[in-house]
Amino acid sequence: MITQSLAQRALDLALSKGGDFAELYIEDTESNSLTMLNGDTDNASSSRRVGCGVRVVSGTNYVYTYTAGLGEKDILAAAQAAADATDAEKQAEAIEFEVKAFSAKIEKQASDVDNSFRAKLLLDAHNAAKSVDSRIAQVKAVIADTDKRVLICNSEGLFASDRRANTRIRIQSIARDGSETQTGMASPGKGCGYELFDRIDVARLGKQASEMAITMLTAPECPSGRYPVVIDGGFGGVVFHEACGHSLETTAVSRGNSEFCGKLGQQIASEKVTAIDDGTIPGEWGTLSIDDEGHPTQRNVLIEKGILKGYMSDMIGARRMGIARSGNGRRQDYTFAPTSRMTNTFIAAGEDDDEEMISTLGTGLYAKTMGGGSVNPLTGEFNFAVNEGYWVKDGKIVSAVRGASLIGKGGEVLMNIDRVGKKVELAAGVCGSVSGDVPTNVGQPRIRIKELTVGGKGGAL
Amino acid sequence: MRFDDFRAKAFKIALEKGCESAELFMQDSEETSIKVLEGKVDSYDYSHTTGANLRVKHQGKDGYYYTESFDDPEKAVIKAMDNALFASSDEHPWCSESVDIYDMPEVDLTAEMMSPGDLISLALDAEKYALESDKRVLRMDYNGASTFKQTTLICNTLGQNSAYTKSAFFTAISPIVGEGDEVRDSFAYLTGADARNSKVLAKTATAMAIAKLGAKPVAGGDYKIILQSKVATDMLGIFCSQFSAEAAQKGLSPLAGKEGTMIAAPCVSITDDPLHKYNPRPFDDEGVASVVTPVIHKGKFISLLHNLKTAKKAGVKSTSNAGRAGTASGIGVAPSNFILKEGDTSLEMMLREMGDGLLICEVAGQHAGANAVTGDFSLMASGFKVENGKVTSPVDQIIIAGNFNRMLCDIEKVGNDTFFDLPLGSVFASPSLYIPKGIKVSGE
Repeated sequence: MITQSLAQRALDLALSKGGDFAELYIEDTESNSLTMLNGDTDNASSSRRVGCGVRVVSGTNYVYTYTAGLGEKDILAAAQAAADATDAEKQAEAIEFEVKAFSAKIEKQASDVDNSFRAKLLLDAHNAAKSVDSRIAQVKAVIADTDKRVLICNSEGLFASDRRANTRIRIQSIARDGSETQTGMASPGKGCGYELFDRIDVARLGKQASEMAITMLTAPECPSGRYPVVIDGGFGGVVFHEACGHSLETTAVSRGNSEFCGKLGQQIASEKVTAIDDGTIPGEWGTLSIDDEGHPTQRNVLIEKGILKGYMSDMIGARRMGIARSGNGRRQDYTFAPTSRMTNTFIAAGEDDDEEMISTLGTGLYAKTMGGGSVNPLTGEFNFAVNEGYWVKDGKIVSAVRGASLIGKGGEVLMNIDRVGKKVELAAGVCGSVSGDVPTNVGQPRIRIKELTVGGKGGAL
Repeated sequence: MRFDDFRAKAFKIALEKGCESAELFMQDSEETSIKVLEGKVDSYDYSHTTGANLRVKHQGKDGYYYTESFDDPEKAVIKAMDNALFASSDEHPWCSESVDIYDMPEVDLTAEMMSPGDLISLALDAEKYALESDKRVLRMDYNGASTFKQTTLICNTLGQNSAYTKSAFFTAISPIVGEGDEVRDSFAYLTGADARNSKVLAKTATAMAIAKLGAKPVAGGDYKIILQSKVATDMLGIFCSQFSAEAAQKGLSPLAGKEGTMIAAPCVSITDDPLHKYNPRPFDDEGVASVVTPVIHKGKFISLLHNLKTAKKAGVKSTSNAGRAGTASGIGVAPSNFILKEGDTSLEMMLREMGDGLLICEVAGQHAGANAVTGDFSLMASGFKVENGKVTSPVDQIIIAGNFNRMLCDIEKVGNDTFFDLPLGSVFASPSLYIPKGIKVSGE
């Protein structure tokens, strides 16, 4: 993408006024998306983002500059601007590059498919979604792909290129009956090219989205109060992502802004809980060969049988805490400096039976499909929406419920997990944080939480 | 190849290949932001980027291609033409008239005058004031200052050629306070000339964080509620898509077809004002000259927000609300400065009128717990208990649940303390709102 000689000059220039580390992050990303609304293509867009980020680090402080375009003049100007803003001890040494090349496995490239191909898949999804019920008033389906090429070079001699592909389909069904409107959703994504569609059945996903919307259409409002809650596998892992994952990133931990600070080796979760962050799982949505600082990704055990084992770190976070880097330095694109972020982060399989969790629940909520949420890492307070929920009474599902949300504190919830099922499922999400939006997988088997605050507008059921 | 050359070539190629017209929407942005922690510059970010979004009209439909690389105008045209074939078939007229920007309100030039050194010293001061203000202040989670300058240019083969530059300057701080095992934080910012006042910024933020110490949930149930101006502003932002003609025409707004009817209490008026001096723009993201649009007048729904495409479909005029989510995005509908008009009741008077209830100062989880299509919301909230008209103890870990559209009708009093959010993109502004019924609280 750029020559070694230009990289060398830019890094030398970046370090010309001090700093102990300099890095170039060169990016060229092509993306496409096609939207279908009610069976007609509605919007097609494509873009090419090209640019360079320059980072100069002195200890644990940094200067970050970036420029669009990859012209020699642009890159050197960004490096000069970074140097001009640096005021540190000079520690630069001669750089000798070691060239490395990585790539995700991409069988069917985005550049080999066209909008007609995308439109056909969307139409299949639409038709299946529409056929579920006459009350399905609207179906919106989107296919989006990105093909990202990066080159990361630094003053430690790294000169590593990587190519990453992400492909996703999102189907939203809206059911309407009189003035009542409810939505259902399915949105799988993988770290691969268009071979995704050889592996998933878009018609089945369309049906699934519509069935969820129809179920919710007649559901009463969820009651509120403190109840036991069963959370299903797959996207249910957003609970762990929000409530604990963010608090285990060095971005929060290294500054003392996490409830899990200083707790390595201590019990922070019920002993049924083992949690993993693994950026190496082939073809997954959050998978990377190397992170956005050029460090190889790895399998990180975060919690083992309830004991806190490790954090997720980027370079500066690792420096700040005096720990090893874990391959979690990530950023949305060249316009962001990297920070510690999750990759594929999930609760590992346990030994409990899925049915028993509900039959011994008493009265409470079975959250089948979760929505998004957010957390304050400082206090661990989180909240998230339940997109598809069911009310359980005496261990039996009595009704679907709408409008439920869950709030609590990460630490408390982890200790209150009293069941962990046997089958882990992963689900794609887009995680937003200080270094932008990155694709991350959440995941877990079905789990049960002894007690949680359930929010809703309904009366007793 | 630089932008001017790219433009000339792309327009020529597009017309040669049979496009009816071609347009470029270009934004050139420069941003400096610094973060100071523990008396040192923790990070310093500077950027200068140029991106251009090519739009072509091909077989009557619009196709887009965004690029930051100006070396391949032909590929840009071919991709945009292919995308046009898959666009919706709704007719989308283009704006061919350039806009004279000299009628604009005077722009605050503070941002232009701030050097990186100025930003650093303001942030150093802010941290110092925050730490001095109370011994329970432990450290800052965030403490920084930014300037931002952006030039927007639209030109097309029909004669449109307009440009303007906007700039912004703000300082922000997030102190962490603690007592015993308990820690709390807060976030506050100031913009424009006010943002130079580090002392006010630091004091406001630390007072907010300290007031939260000892917060706990209240019992669930029905409460009278005051949404503090910042939360009321957040709510407008969450539900603003209901006022978009694009959403309405796609069946995604409960307000579709309700023009002329009462959709809010008589004390509620909302205006979209692109020329408001807080964040003015001479034209929208498709080049249409700015006009002020009454959205709700004394409870009565006057108009949805339109761009040229939705206006054509509805048989009305554009309200100059073409918006793009970013330079790379296609043209949709977005508010400019979306302002709920203030009344004459102070927050104190409102609290007295309420007597007993809750003052909500923060909500979280907007992207998950709110549905603009239905108006339903269920949001994690915090604030204060109000007893006998006085703020008593802090409250957190509660959920407020209700429906935005019902809430608009249930507003009984509108405050005089308008809060404006950050002047980037669409700006929302609202005073505090007193809502005596209809919002359900879950807590202990």
